[in-house]
Amino acid sequence: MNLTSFRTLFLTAALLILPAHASAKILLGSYYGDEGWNMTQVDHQEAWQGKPDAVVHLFTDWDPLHTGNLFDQQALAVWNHGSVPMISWMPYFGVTTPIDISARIAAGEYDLYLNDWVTRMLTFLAGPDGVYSTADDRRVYLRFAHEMNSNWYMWGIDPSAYIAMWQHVHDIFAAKGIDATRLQWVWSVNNTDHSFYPAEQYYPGDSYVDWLAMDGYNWGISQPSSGWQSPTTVFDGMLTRLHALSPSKPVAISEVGSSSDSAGIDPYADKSQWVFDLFQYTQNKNIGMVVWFNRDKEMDWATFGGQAGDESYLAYNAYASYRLAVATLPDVLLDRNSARLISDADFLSDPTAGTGTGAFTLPPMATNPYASVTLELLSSWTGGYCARAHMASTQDINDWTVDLYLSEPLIGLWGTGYQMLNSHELRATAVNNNYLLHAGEATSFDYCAHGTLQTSVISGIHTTPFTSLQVDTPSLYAQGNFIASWIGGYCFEVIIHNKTAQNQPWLGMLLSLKDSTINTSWNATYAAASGDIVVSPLSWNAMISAMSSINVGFCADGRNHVDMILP
Amino acid sequence: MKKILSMTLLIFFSTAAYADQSEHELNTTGSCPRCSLSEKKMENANLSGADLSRSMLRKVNLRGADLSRANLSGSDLSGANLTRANLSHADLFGANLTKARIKGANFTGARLAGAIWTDGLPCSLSAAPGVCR
Repeated sequence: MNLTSFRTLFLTAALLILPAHASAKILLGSYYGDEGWNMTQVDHQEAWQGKPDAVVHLFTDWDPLHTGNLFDQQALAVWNHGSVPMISWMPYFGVTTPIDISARIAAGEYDLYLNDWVTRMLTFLAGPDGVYSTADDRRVYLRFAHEMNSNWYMWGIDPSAYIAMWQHVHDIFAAKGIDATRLQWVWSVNNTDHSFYPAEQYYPGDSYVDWLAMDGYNWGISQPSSGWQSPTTVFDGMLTRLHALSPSKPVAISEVGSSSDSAGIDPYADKSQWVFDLFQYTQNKNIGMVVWFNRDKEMDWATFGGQAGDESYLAYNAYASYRLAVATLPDVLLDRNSARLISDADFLSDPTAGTGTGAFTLPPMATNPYASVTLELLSSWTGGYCARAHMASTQDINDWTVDLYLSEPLIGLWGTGYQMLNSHELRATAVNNNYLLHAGEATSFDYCAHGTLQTSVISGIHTTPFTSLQVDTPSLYAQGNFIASWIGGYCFEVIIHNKTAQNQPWLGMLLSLKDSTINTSWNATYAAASGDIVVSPLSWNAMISAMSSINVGFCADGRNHVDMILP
Repeated sequence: MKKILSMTLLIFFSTAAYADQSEHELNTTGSCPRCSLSEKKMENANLSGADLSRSMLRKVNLRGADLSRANLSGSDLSGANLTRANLSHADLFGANLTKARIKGANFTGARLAGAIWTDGLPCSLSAAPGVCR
């Protein structure tokens, strides 16, 4: 088989494994490299891929000399082409940019520039009639001060200054009356932290952000420290963190690309597989927007118009995998005959439609003798919702699970572990920071799913009581107690009582520890530190006097789950 | 043998061609942010004021080049030859200069905050010239 036939076979097979149904609409976009100048390549790419780009990405900085071109030429060209511009607005204006630019912006030092820029934005958004809030208004995704959790942009040096800057800039937009149906704020992080601070510390707050976004690339084996990374490896860690940060916000992938620098025999096929995997991932994870970085830069990121590909269109090299993957995507309703191109709901990814617990009948609370679980609606939209499960213990427990029946597929669950029992039923499981609940304590986890919360059911609560263990034999009685317990460790003591009128030998016992390791012990010999452990008496307590007791015990790191067998 | 040869050519093409595209972009526009110029020979090049931010410049030969007021923030200049290069008032915020050769280079007024100096240490811990903060 030659490479071409191998690739064709591979592409066909890869297409077959894409989800058969569309899980959610998606805003498809691209960065093509010319910042709104000369849109010919975008025209050609759309003809090649058979679908329009709802979003076209461009970068601009804070040089006042660039403001006129941005609104009069670049963003206008993108809009007139029939796409919503996503403007990456970088607070930088060359080597004279002060290193504390964020703090200075927050302090109002650049308000003159800002007010001019926002006024120009308002005029742009007002559309051809020049009157804001009319039927011909335009739209913009504003990605301000992106990748702040990096070490390559100075606006991320100080998280508190960054937040103050963001809020100050946002407030100026709000004061001009710019609303969410015209302009969406995109808070965009790098997929991994390269700053002294994690991305979360830069979050300006839910009321200042409309979209959470992340940038990530597969560098292949090009870097000394990198390897071939799947889309899941590139994005899943940060996606989990973003959902935890704000479960109800839509998530975008604002920059993405893959190198073909693989260790495989056919780098084109490896990159093609990566493209398929990305779009499968975005559908599985309900990503609302994907903007491909379609320009060869540090690496050969492009899938259209780059220096390599496995097919050609006009004079462009292209990757067929992108075209085929895009063909299977659920459509976004981009109407180029409409003055506003897309609906408000699609522009916002409709994160709040239907919100309000008053409109819903929540599933009933579930209880068992040790705990109860209630569900709270966090947000909902057409076809999906996010909810929070509150688990409150009424007695001491040291392990728990909660089963939920969902009428439609799960999107994701955050705040604890889980496993799918079948296609509709999931089991939320305790993890190391929430398995131990004393009476009156509570924990919670969040999840998002398709469908509606009304059709969810709490189908089970399972708890392990935090009680003593007793073992009775004809001559001895043993009682084990957790004499101390904390998150991450515990101490366990066994009192062995000779209940007869004669001295009795104690031959030892078997303890079984689940997920813990002994770090100290007393009054016995422990054959191991974890797992199933044979506990043997010492010379002085191998014989227990009539009607007397001895005690042995240990302290361990880990979860306090102990089983005990006394021969 | 033919199959192995064709695969080798494909790999070579895919990894080398985008570097040529970067060089073309730099030559035609005078700037090339996020570009791949590692190991390129650019001795005595006039790149004054160029935007080369976040670029891959490993082992690039910039001996005697004019990089004054250039934006090199976030760039990887590890192993680069910067002998007698003019980096005055250049922005090297967050740049990696590990093992770069800098004999006779001019760093007057260069911003080196967050940069990794030639000895592999953060600028603030090194005897780096320029402005670390």
